[in-house]
Amino acid sequence: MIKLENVSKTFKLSRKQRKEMGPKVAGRHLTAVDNVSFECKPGRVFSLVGPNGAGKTTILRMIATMLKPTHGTINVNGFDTISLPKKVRMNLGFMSDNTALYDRLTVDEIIKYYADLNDIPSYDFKTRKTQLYDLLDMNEFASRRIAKLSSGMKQKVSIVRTMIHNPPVVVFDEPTSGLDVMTSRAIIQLIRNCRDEGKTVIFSTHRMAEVQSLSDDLAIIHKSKLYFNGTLKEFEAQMKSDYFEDEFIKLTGEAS
Amino acid sequence: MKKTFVIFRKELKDMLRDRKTIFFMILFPLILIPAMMISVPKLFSDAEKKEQEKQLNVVLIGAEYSQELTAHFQSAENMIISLEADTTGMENRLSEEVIDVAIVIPEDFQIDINAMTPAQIAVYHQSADDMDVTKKKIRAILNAYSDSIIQERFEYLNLDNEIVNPLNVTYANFASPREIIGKMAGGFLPYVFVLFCFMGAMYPALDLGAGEKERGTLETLLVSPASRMEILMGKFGVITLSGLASAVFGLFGIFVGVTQTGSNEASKIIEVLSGIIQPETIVLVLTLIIPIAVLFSALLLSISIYAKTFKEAQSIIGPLNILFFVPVIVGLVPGIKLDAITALVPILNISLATKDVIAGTINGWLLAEVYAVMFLLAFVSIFFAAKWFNKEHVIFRT
Repeated sequence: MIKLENVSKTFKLSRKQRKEMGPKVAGRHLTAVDNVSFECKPGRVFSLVGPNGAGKTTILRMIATMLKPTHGTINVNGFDTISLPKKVRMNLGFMSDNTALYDRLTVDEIIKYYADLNDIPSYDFKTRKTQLYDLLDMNEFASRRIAKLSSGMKQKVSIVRTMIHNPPVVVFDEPTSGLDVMTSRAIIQLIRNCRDEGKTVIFSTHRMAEVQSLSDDLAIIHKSKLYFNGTLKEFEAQMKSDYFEDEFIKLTGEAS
Repeated sequence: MKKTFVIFRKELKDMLRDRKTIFFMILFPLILIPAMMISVPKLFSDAEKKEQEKQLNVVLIGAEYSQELTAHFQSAENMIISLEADTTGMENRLSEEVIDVAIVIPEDFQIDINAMTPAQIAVYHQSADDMDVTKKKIRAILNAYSDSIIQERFEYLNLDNEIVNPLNVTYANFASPREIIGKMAGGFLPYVFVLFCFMGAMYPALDLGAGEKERGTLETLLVSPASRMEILMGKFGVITLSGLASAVFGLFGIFVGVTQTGSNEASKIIEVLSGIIQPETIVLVLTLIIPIAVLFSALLLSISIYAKTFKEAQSIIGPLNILFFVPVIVGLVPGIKLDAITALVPILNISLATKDVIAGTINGWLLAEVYAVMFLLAFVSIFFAAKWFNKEHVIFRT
């Protein structure tokens, strides 16, 4: 479970940043997330939707303990992100659009590295690795170096890296951005599998089709604020447009 | 601690597969340095030998005014002497390298010699280098002629040659050969430490800090259960090891280079090195590399973590190289010794301590002060690296 209560995040801006941002920002601080509260439940997929710069990545980074909230609290699987960040990270898998792998290591070496960082016992590691490799059809290139892999193969490695410790909470930050149809489909299937296994899944995306096909719950973030928080059905019930995308554009347009 | 080791092991493996790091850490000190040390002096000596054996085309103008000097030139080896009456076209022939030297003996040359007054002689040549072989050869002939005239004058005036030596000084140096050796080799060794240690630590530091940020792999580490301190220490360990290894390989490479050159100077240096290579000296010198490696790693990692990109880190770290060499150069200034004050100056203290360690004159208290200063500074640098590593605006600097 992930629970955000009145979470805000403010960044102090450097002089250069203030200059670059111009009159958009008043003062020395930028509020990236403004008083946001929502809850992601186990066995459900929670979509975080919003245009670029809305604050989605900042929220996900706060959930993953990379950033600390300026105000409010975040609880991940019963652990507070401020007081027990290590416990939070032990319960969490994080995947972004960037495969972020080490080119000079082999697939096996990378997976073992993250397994060791997560203190996975040897037997569990072998079982889990075999399971994931078989599922994603990775055995053929397991001993190859990352630099020699195609982007689709890299994405599969990135999935295994995220899931090797079997985390109860999984965070996906725009996981399908810039990917081909086949790889996107594999990731969507992975998200579905996570839900079926009873994991708590939160993912951010721009793609409305993905939101419609995957989400149980969703939150719409625009200009750092929460504009909608509820189930997909609730959202669809209050839609004034025929299409999901039109409704989203209308909503964010009205907010601007 | 376990996670620090996991990170250390992975970073080491990754680093050893990086060609750039391997080049700067192993290949450059172990292969290129000895190769350069062997080939460059050989190149110079071959070129000099060739120049020495080269036939010089010398034109003597006014040879009839000094048969004796002319005879000196004519008896010299590897010279083709042409006697000419005047200087017509001399400049052109020199610049076109038709002739190598033109020597003009004036009409009153022998009159001045006989009168024991300085006789004028003009030597024309085309050379941008004051040390060139042509000039050296001509100077040797003129010096030999000059010595013969001086000898004649002494005999004519019935004077003893010793009249020009008013002092007969005997120098007795009480410094042991090891001390002399130590000050000689000890001044040079810190160059090797600083250069190779910095080079060896630089690329891993760039890669493990700014490089990881740029590639996005740092984010995956930050969401792992490893604490930031564990991540930092794992990276710091690998960078320090790389700096140390590079410095040690550098020393070894130079030793190999020196032993293989085969020149007289080299054999002297070998003698020097065999004088200092005693187990306790090696251990002490190596322990002096450790604080440098620790300091460089901590500083370079701090900068690398702060930088947004690999390129930005490179542009900050580049000029630092020069900054670190200044204290090493200061350490070579005569009169600067290791004392309670100089022991406080980082790098300079290592430079001076190295000299004293090799010379066998190191003061234990001052050595302890050097270690204390260097490790304190390294600790401060690690502290700042850790502080920066915990700052969101540094890690996610855009």
